[in-house]
Amino acid sequence: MFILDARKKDCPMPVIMTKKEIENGNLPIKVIVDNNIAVKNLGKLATAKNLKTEVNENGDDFEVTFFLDDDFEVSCDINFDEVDDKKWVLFVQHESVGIANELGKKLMDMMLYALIEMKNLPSHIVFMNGGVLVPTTYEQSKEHLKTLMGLGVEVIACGACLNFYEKTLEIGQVSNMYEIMEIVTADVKVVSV
Amino acid sequence: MKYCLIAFESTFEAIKCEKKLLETMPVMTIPTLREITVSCGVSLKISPDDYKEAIKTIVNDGIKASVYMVSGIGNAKEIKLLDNYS
Repeated sequence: MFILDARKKDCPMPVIMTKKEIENGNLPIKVIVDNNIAVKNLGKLATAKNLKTEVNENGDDFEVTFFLDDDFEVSCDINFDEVDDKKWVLFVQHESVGIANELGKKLMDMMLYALIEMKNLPSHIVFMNGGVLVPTTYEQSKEHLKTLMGLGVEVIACGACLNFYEKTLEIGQVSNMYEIMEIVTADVKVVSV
Repeated sequence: MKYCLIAFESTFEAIKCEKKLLETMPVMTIPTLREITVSCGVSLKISPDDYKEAIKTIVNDGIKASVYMVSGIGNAKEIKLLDNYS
């Protein structure tokens, strides 16, 4: 088992060091820390990485062991190419890609079409401000979004923005700023257009 | 899945052609497939049933375009050049 001594390291170093070792394939890994906050943060890292943890107290220290979830191991043939793919979110703030002209709207249609064939799909597509016109107004984009939803992508639109533009969302979910902030600040890469 | 793809030399011609074709048939704007290298990057996807009608428009309006028949999806795509009006 890989052992990482993260004692006397200030927050967030224990999490950063552990994340790096997990991403290098060092599992199971036992991380030794010396405070409760680090234990809690390591727990959050485990959740984000779909890993189980076991915590043992050893004197003044804590030993947090990360290992693969057994069910996950039994039920999945792990494709390491896919595991390496970073989770990501597409954040759409405008009705077009770049400036709002005829080409920009075509580029939006084309971008969503191309996404369908991507190996690493975004977990969410979030529409905000003028971006809400895409899932409400543009027929081609709507079709592509329906296909993407069928592939497991969550389509989210800002409720205040829909109200401002007086649009009704027919596909995806209406959401609010709190949920959108949770989505874009999770352990994901955010691609903004 | 089988469809006709029209690739253009310029984006202006792609947009102009889309407007014309939309008068008579459903059209989808898509990125030009990686396999087709001579294009501005914007293509139109139409049904094979509308192929002849689309050719009429391209010829009548003097649009510089290439028309392909695409079958299959992903890496298993087969692309055949049907007409070239460049």
